[in-house]
Amino acid sequence: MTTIRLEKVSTGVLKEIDLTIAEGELFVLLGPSGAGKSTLLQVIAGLLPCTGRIFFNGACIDRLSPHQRRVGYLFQDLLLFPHLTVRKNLQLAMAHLKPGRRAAQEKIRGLLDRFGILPLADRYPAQMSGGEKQRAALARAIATDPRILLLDEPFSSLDPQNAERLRPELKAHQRHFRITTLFVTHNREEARQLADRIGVLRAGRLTDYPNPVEIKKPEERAAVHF
Amino acid sequence: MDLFDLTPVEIEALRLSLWVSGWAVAASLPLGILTAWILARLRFPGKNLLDGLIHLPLVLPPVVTGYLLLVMLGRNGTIGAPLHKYLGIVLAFNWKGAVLAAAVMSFPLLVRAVRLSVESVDPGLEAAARTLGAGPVGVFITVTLPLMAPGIITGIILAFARSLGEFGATITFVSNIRGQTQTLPLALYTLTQVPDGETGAMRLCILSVLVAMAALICAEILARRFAARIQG
Repeated sequence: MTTIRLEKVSTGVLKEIDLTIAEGELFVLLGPSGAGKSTLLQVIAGLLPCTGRIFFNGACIDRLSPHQRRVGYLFQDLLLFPHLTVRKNLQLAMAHLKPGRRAAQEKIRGLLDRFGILPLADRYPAQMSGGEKQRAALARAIATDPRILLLDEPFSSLDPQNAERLRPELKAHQRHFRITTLFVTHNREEARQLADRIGVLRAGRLTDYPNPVEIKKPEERAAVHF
Repeated sequence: MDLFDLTPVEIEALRLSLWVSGWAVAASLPLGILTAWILARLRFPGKNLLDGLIHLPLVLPPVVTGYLLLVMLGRNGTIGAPLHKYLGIVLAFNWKGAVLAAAVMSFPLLVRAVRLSVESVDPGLEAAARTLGAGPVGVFITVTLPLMAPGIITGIILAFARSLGEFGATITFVSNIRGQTQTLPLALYTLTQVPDGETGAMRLCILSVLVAMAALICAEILARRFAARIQG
């Protein structure tokens, strides 16, 4: 398990972000569109340059390329590879771990089974529903054995019923794999349901950390209003 | 005379055309893909100049391109002389020169088709592959290249068809030598210059149309297959 620490991270809209996410914690970053939520995820993944420092378990990872950071990134539009079946999407995600053929097949089978999409293993993304694609993308992100899971509004493209059903599933998977997780959303209810801890990002600044229980109170709702 | 009963001259011209066009495409494909990717994805000073140079053969009279090739790569040319002296390579007036002329003339079409396919690949997919542990080469091989496949096939066929029809640069650079550089268009041209050559010219004309149509149909089928696979 990994502790993530950000020290004065700045880039574009982000201004001197200080943040620590504990081992196995699910931290939800709440904020309106344009606040810099996705930017922060991209910075942690190494897809965008920044000033400041990022530590995984105390080791600075600033100089590591994205493929060396071992982050599991679930993008807002999922970005499953359209030319590969679900099984091959996961295979590609595991390639850098260099597992044996048999071990890889077993791990993929286990993951697909856990996410309830084993019967869809040989389908292409275009042949799947939104919820199925969402599960496949999450399985792919976890297949990399990530040190941190970065989730960029993964339910935003789903209908409310599907999203409602998948939230507890996500939380259960996160608990099962005990992966340190940073989840960004603009949906307060989603934040409240999922978070161990919440941070609010406004105009590039991390402003306050209301407790997920307290956010239910009217005065706290006002505090995180945007 | 039976249309399908080809004469030795016709077989020779057809075989040479396919050989030269095949080599022209095979030799220019790796550079074409690299150039297309650079033009689609990178920003650098002189990019417009590079773009212009690559497309120059499209707008220049082919004879001019052929003459420039002769001046540069002829046995006494600025590049051709050292090539001959130090490496023993001679390009002028043989099939290798015909390959080069065809490759230069078809290169812009190849690059344009491949570039469009690079531009159609969502950079987000490449970013996703990077976060999944793939290095830059791995991303290109496993994600970018397969998604470019329909454009690459289109580029190959366009370049192949352009090479089959290449005339001006070829005749200027490597002349019209039977068995060496006399491809289908050059053989057809030769027949139009001799008395009673009309029938032979028409046969070569039909042959050219058939080969070009076959290439286009193959390209369409292959491109559709790849596109269907990508779209699931």
